[in-house]
Amino acid sequence: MTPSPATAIDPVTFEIIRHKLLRVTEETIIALENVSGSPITNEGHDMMVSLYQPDGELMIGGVGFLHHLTSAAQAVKHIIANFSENPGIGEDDVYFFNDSYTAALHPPDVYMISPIYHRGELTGFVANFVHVTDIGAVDPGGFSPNAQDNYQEGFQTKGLKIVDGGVLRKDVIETFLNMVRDPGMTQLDLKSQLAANHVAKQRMRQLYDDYGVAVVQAVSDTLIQQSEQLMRERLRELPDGQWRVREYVDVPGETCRVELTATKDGDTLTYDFTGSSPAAKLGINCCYWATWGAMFAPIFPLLAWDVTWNEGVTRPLRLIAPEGSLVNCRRPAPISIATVGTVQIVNNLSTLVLSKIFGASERYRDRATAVWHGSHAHVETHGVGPDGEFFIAPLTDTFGGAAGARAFADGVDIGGEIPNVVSRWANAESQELNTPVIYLFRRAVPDSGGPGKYRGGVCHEYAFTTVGDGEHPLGVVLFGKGTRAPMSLGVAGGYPGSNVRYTTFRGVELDPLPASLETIAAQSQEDISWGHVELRPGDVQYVRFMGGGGYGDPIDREPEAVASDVRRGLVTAAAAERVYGVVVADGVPDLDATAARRLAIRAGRAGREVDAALATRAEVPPSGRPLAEYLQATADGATQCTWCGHVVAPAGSDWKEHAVVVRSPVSKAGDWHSDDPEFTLAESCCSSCATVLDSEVLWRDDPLLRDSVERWPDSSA
Amino acid sequence: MHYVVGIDIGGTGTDCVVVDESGGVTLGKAFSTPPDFSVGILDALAVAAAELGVTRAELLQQTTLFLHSTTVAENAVVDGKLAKAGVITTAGFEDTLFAMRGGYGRWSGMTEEEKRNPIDTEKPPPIVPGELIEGVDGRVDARGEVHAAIDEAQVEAALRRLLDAGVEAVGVSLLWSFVNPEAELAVRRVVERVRPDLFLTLSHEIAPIIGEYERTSTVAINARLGPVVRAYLDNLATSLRDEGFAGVLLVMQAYGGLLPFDQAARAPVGMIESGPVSGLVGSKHIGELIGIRNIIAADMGGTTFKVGVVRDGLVEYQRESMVLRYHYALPKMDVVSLGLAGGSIIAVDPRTGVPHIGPRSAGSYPGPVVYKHGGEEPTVVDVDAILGYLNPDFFFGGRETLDIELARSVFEQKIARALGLDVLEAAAAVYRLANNLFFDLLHRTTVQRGLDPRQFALFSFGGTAGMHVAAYAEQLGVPQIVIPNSASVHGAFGLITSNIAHEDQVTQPMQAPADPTAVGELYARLEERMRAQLASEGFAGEQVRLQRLVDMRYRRQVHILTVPVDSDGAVDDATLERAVNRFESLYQEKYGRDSAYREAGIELVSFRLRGEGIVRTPDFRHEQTGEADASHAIAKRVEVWVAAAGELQEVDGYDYSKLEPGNALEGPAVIWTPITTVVVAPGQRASLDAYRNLVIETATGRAAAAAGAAVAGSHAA
Repeated sequence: MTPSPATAIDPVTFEIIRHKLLRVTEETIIALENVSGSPITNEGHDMMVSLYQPDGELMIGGVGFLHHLTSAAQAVKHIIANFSENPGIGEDDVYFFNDSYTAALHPPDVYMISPIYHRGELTGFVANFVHVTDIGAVDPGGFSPNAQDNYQEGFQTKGLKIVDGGVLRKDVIETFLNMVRDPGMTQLDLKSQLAANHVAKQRMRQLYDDYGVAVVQAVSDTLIQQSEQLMRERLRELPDGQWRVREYVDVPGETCRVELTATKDGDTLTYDFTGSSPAAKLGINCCYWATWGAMFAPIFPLLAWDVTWNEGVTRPLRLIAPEGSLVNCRRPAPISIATVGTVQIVNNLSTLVLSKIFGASERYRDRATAVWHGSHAHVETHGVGPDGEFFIAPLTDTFGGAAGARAFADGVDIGGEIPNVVSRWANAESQELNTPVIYLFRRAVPDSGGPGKYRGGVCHEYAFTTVGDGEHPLGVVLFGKGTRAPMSLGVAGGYPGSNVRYTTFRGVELDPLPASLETIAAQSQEDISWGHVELRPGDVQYVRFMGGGGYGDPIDREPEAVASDVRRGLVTAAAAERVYGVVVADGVPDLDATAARRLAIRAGRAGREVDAALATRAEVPPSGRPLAEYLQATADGATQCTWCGHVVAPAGSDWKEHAVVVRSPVSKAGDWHSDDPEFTLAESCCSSCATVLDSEVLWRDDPLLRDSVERWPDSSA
Repeated sequence: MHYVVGIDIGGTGTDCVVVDESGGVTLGKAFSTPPDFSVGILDALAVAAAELGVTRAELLQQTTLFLHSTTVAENAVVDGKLAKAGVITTAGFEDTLFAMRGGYGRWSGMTEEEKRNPIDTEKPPPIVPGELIEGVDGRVDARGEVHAAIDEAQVEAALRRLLDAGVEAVGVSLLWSFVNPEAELAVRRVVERVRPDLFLTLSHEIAPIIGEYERTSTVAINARLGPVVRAYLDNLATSLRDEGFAGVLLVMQAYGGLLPFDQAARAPVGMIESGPVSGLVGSKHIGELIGIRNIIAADMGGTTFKVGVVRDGLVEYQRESMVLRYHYALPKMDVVSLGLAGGSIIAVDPRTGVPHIGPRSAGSYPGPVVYKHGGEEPTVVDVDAILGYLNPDFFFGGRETLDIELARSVFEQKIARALGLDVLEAAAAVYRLANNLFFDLLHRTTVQRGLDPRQFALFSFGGTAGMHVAAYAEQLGVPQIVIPNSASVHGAFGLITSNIAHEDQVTQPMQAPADPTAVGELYARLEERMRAQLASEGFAGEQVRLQRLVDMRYRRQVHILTVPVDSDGAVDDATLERAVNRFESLYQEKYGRDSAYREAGIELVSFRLRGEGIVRTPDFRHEQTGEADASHAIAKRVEVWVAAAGELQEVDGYDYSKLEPGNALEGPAVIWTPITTVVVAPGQRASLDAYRNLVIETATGRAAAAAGAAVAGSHAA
């Protein structure tokens, strides 16, 4: 029985259809996993599936890399606008799309877009992406560290009909496969995408058969309205004001700056990237829709976690991205490294700025989190496989991740990332199956988590060697960022997580195989983070990631939590004492020695003795106008430290001008942190108790960031 | 006379089903008796024996097959009562269990909604802590080639460290052991030399699959379960043999089949949640008998509420087997188990005055207050008693006594007063709350997975379900409730409808077209082994059913489809061609016409043989359906709470044992069965079918049917 569309949809049917739409995306993802041959897709979940409205708006977003949800919407809209007449969007057609200057993120992330028809009527679209094995660019694998401009970054189309009325176009696919290095695997990637859309269409048609197109469409429309309404309500519950965040990208010969000012006003939120660097020479740049998608990737799970992910979520948001900057570059700026370049920076900044806003909200303070997995230190390998064929194989270690610390708990160790809520690494065995590599180790890295009241999750490190015949070296393509600039920044005074390291070792003793960084005995070694490396038997490539950022002042961390970290090997005893001020003996905190050490740390920050009474948090009555973990505005507009109650700054002035600012090398936060002299860790401390109220990373003489909160909900300020 | 006995142990009850040579069925039921469950088993056997008119010893002496399912494995995991176990793994990979493949350990097992909110997700602590994990040198590659040899002296030192730390079991998981098991076998030699009685699990034996994380996790869980489950099974076997049992003891596995005692004891991880699975197998069997293909099977006993789904006549398997949040690599039928049921303890939060149900449970000991087993805290069953649903004359066939007055006074003191209500009002309020919670659980496991309950029948089992199902079935919208005749002993019933199932396989990849002689020889070898195995369990001739299967995939793809090989004897080219064609059409059906990557070729990966020993299925006599009038079965009029009316009403109370097939009755009414009371709500109609199953048409279902009929009528007009 098909319910009449004219009658109101009962709540049960509404709920069932909502869940069925989610199930369609889930089942489609499973099909993608099953048919794909590539660990990056089926184990790493570097992919996305979403459903779109007949006009291209996001109907329901699946999981996977979330910056694609909105970008693929733009791609669908483009196809509708440009190809409806010629060559037409017919039943069982499929379009191939990957042009970043129109909608996508970077060339290897291919969108496969299928219209969904039911009984001759266009009812919507399904789109998915996977990172295809090769795209025919200057470097193998789709990331092109050697590309000087966009024209060297491979095959890029604004829409190409690859399946016409259910028939795969042989001329089209053969033309494409003729341009890529590993046509077998690349073809399998495309096949998995076609299979996934096939499954989505089948499921959607079943849904239409069961409930009728009109009912399903009415549910989708209502869901979009609901999501917009819920987002606007949530924004109204947050304070009004302006918050600023900044990150740096370090690539060979260049340090770029991305500045973000978020303005929350009533039920709208504007992200303004004015002040960001011009487009970089290397391919880390973002096109407009990449930046748009990148800002939403954290907004979905952090701000809209309990709202249906669709077009409605995007409506209260505005983006200002200056043209020609690296967040809105002009062709022919190269963009192939965007996803692990500026897209990730925008992900990080979006996370950070939302956390600052949450920090100024009593209701949402527990949503705040430091940056997770600040830099994808991704590696692509290639060479000649055991079967004599050329292969390209990305390693999935970067999907291990490390969670940022939260306002109520530590970051999860090796705990993933925000923009992809279902990422995971492939087993070493899966990576070794079809690729001539041997993993030597995959280990958690002590002291890599950003120190704080709550510690950032630790990251991991790994190393591999080649089992090739020696005749064909194993090629390694590197495009690393974050070896100098910290990117897993902390929040509310927390320190950043560790920096990335890439080292290539030559002439390594391999019997027995080294099982840790310390036991690698090499004739020579070199830190190379960009370009090509060739590994021959006896060579080892090592990579270390970034731990998650910390939350709050490290000397505010429970001594027992630090001791537990030491016992589990996640923090060394030396760092416990130096950074956290916790003296651990035989796995147990020495509380007297800890108190003395912590008081000494306060004195060091203040540059004078600090009264021991100030080492304990005082009972400071909440004013109802929080600013951050240790800051609030008083009724008369002054800024108060909520650790000791001291009024840090009078009304009408910026509190940082009255704070004690301690500038140190970033390596203050840990031995695996950057010691590059161009970067400093700037801690703005209370001039009375010396608690770290805010910490930030500055390049050269960049100014401190200033925030201003104008109004809290239900308050007259 | 020879008997087959099925015994299922739940948190509260121990159920027994005895089938004699002629297919006659006798039931027995007793309370479970933790920690020594064998007492409850012997009690239940005694009840059945009395019914049969023999002694318990006579029954056991004549029992040829003893089929058993138990919750001991999952209880040990959930209650944290696991053995201390160590893990030996490849050096460099000691953090495999800690890392849990990155974010995977944090998000897997979460609902889609929960995955979308990463801030509120955590990883569980590793199943084996770092200090009990030992890395050893030695490395094999994907082709089984040895790159570094294992060092037995080093293994022995590692083992001794673990033994010194007090481990009772050891799991071994070395990279690529399923390709080349030599290194794991070397570890076994060392263990046999040093501590031959140690419980030892080798990864290539228990989980010969690719993926070191899942394999290591399986080994770790199995090792931690091993000593606990072995002690349990040894104790059971001894108790049975002491009574004269000399038959074959088989243990239920979560994949839906039975394994011999000694094999089950070596791989206890396979027993996790096998009890609910046997219930689901029983539901599927009943569904087949009465022609229902869509079933929501909900079993509410004393401690847990378990939900499984049969869709289109098939039971779904879990995509990733997990217990708590830990992964293991054995197939498992999908049953969701939640800790809310009749024995759940009710408490009022002193701070808020809000009543809570669970998560603590009284189980069978101390049990609900009304059972007089020493329980002092009010439970859901006590509320049922206060509302008039329990009848002491029928409870456990009148063998157990009930103290309803005691339940009332405890409930008044601990709950009603705190709520400021009189006893009846408070009981009615808690009853409503409980029903809403049960509804939420069912909603989560059906609607939120995209299943439309309106297309399913709700099969309801367990000692306390009957008093609540009338309410939550209406809320869920199912048209029909079925309370099977076997409901009181449903898990045990599932056991006797299961078959002994073994699976054996040889992994020997071949390119299609494969050599039929070689394939034929593989199957012949597998069949010889299988027949010997089944013969040792007492199955021969027609009781043995063998099925040949082959795992196939397109080369370079990971995903495998298993297809049957339709030959019992000689294999020829045509046999294999049919298998390949079946693979291709299955693939195409699933993923669409252009999804297959045929150019890569097709690979026959593993050759499997499924062997079943057919246990005689009991004969349910098909009884004649008689008159609708059920008045002869009315035992008395009784005052019970009628929730829909919001008051106590006098209703007819029926004696289930006096109802005859074809009898029907209208709610409000209650029906007393030997283990439960079935409440029939106003607007519902209950009838007894030919198998003595109680079938209740819900008010919602009847209204929809009437509306459907009206629509059909108007169409006809």
